[in-house]
Order: sequence, then C-alpha cells, then structure tokens
Amino acid sequence: MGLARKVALVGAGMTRFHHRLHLDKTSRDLFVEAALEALDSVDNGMELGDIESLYVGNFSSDAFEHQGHLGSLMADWLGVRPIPAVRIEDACASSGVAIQLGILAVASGAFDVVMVGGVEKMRTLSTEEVTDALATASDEIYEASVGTTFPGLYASMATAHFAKYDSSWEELAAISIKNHHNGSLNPKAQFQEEIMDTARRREARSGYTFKDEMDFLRSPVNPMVAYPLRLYDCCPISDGAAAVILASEEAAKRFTDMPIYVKGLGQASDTMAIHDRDDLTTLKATRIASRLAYKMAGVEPRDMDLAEVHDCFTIAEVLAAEDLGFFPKGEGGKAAVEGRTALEGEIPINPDGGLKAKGHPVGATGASMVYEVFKQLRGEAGKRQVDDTEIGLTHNVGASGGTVVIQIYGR
Amino acid sequence: MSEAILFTPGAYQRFLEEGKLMGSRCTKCGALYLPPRPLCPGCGCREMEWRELRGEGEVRAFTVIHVPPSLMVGRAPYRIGLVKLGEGPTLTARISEGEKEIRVGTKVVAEFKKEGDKTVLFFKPLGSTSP
Repeated sequence: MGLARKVALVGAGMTRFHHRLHLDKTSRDLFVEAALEALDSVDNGMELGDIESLYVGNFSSDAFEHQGHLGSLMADWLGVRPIPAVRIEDACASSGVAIQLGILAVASGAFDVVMVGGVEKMRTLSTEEVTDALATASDEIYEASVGTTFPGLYASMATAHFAKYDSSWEELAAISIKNHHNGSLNPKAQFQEEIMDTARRREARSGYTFKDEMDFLRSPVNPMVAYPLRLYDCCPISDGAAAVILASEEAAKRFTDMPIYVKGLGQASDTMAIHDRDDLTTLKATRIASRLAYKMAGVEPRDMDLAEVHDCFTIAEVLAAEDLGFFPKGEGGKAAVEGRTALEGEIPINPDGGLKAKGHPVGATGASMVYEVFKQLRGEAGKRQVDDTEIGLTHNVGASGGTVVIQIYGR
Repeated sequence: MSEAILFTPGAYQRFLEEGKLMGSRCTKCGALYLPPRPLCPGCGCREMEWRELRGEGEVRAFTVIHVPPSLMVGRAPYRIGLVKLGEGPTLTARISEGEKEIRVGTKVVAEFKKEGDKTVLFFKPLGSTSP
C-alpha cells in the first residue's frame, strides 16, 4: 500500500489533560480550545477558512454527556460550517483512526487541508459509571456481563505474560515510574509529578514511610484494581482534547518550512473478546498494523527515534514494546527496568508521559500522540525533548486490541 | 429439534439455565465455537450445529477484580478466569470462590449457580472446597 500523494502535518494543539481543571467545560469547549491551538501553531499562519473537512474522534459523548452528533457540533462551535464534518468511534483508538481517515482523504486528492481531532469529557460521571461506559468497548455479552472490567482484561493478559515469560509486576512498576517521570516534564500532562514526590506527599496523610518508589507502589496506598494491576498500573480518568492539521505536500509548503510527513500507515482489527485469541500475551493487531506501516515507510523498528504507544495499563506498554518489534517477546518490561525506553534510552517510549501520566481522555488520545510526535520531530518538546529525532511512531489501541492503528511520521 | 434453535446469546443463556454448556460447530471445517456463533469466521460456512461441551478445562489467564462494574458492586473481590475447555475454545467466566488458589494451568470444571433469577456459569478449581 502507498499513498497517492504525500501528506504532512502542519499544525498541532491540545488542551492540558486533567481530572479537575476542566470540570466546567464541555466537549465542545475542549475541542475548540485544542483546534484553535492547532490553528495558531501553523508557522506561516492559517485561517479557519483554509480547512476543508473536519474529523472528530470520540468514544462516548453519548454516555458521558448525553450528546451525540459531534461532527456537526464541533464544526458549528469551531466556526467552520458548512464543510463536511464526521465523528469517528473506535473506542480508545477513535482519534488515531480519525487521523488515518484524514490522511487518506488528503492523499486521495479530495481535500488539500483537513483538521482531525479527538475529545473526551469523562469527569461528568462517577468512577463506577465510567467503568461501565468503558466496558461497552469490550464484548458486552461475553466479557463485561460476566463481571470483568477493562483493567481486568489487561490484568488477565498480564497473568498470561507472567506465566509464559516469567515476567513480573516489578517490571510493570518500572514503566509507571518512567512514565510519571516523563509526565513531570510535560506541561500538558495530567500528572506532572515523579512517583517519589507523590509518595512523599502521601506519607503525611497515610502514616506510612516509603523508602523508595517500589516501597510506595507495593503499599496499600497503591490499592489493587484488578490483580496484578494496582492503581499506578492504570491510566487515569481524564478530560481533554487534541487536534492536528494535515495538508497535501504542495499545500503544506504554503503553511510551513518544517512539515512533518506521513511515512507509513497501518490499521488492523482483532477479535472483540480476548478469550478468542490464540495468544493472550500479544496484540496481534499491533503486529499486523505495525508491519504494514514499517513496510510502507521502508523502515525497521530499530530506525524509530521515539514511539508513542498505548499504555492504558502498564502491561499494555510491555506488549506494545514487544509487538512493535523493539524488543523480543518477554523482554518489554525488562527493557523499561534497564532504562532502554527512557528519554535518553535507545528507543524512548512515551516521552510525554504516556496515557499513564499524561492522561487518557479516550477519544483524544490518538491525536495527542500525534501532537507529541509533531513536537518532538520539530524539536519543540521542551524539557522532554528527545535528542536527534527524525522519525517517530504512534500506536493507538482500541479497547483490548480489537482495533490498532499505527502511523509513522518523519521530517 | 436443536437445528431450529438460533445461535444467539439468548439461546446460549437458556442452555445454561438447563445446566448445559452449548457451543456451535461448523459442519464444514469442524471448528468449534463457544460462545456459539451463527457463521464460521474460519471458513465462512453458514451451516452450524449445536454441540455440548463437557465443561472441563484449565485456566489460561485470570484476574481478581477489586474495582467492580456496577452490576457486581458489593461482590468484589472476585475471580475471573479465561478458561480453555478441553474441546478447544476459551471462555471468560467467574471462578468459584474458595481456599483453592488458581494460577495459569489450574484445572477447573464448570458449575452452574443461581444468582438472582439467572444461572451463572462458574468454573471450580479442582480439589477446592467451594461452597
């Protein structure tokens, strides 16, 4: 597969992801905030009138806000009527898939400039209600109704991984520590604090004394959610939005001298219920989608300078690090323990803090990954900037791997 | 006349109410599906037949849910297993509570318990003293 013409990123914006900051905002407010930041980020300036089509990734505004029809809603409130506007829903991969469709639309020649974003306003509901809403992205009849949860699905994959590869929860904890460190350097992240700093704050309230991060993570202050996953193995509930602007190669030159090109694309689906998979220690759709993207870009996994991967749970980053081909099966967690995926490691994973620390407003996550790669490849990532970045990958997963969408971007 | 029963979640649940674990088998390639499917995703065949499974299997993966969904509030912590049946398919199901620990590879057997007016499929770790 190849694109009929080259497509470039020319702008990106996002709100801070947060659990409290946006309580008074609705999804339209968040989306417009991110969209305008993307517009204002364009080097040579861009007007709303330059945008020819709008794609909005969103998982479940219906459940969270009792609001549907987000394509039209966002086009209206952003002030880009009457251009075509579409909502795309693929669970947690909604905006990653929306970007894939935006890229294909520009590559087809139908449009020269499109905006693609994602949004989720989740803090309207209680944790229990959010758990129920998220569960609709798994098999409602044969998984959710049995009593499992999203953490439960990934926890099951973790126990299978531990048994097959002799991996451990301590390896998962290393991922959480790394991602919180990266988040501490990212002004858009929900949690901008090292885990040890959190531990120190919690000492006063809990009466415990923690000698190091692992001591804190093993304590009751980090409660079990779904064995073996504890609270700090799980991404938080977040409000937020992110948006990017895509243009044809020719149009991009008008807007910037530093476009970031789409080099490769891949998307794949897998069984809805994880019990129907032959191997519970791998997301097969990640393997398929990434091989498509690598082939199209003419690159190998080792060529990546950074990767934004879907760490909705720490075990998910282990699976991604392996399934994307960065490390052999069974060694994704060890790689984090050894610092090989840290900002200064051989393949920095989730320099923005990942879903774990940056936050996970479900429908906005895929677009926020592309925002990060755009900033990193342009050298605009501030304190979390990875050295010498030329090529980076985004890996956005829908639910437990029923959808995976991968993009490779380069200068 | 089991041929007349559609391969739906409703039919699957009605069999559970009778204490039967019923899947569907492809009449062309022989693949067995649990829960039952009306179409064989393996070969595309649309001719399926009901098959009863023995309910013996082993744990491929498991978890203990501490933060439950609303339908299970008040019941946590409870165990969920991905159980591979002897006949091949794997199913997500509750694991009966008891002293017996489970791990990947633990042998289990199906049991049917009433919760409210609904029959729920559990798997009991063999040798456990589940109530």
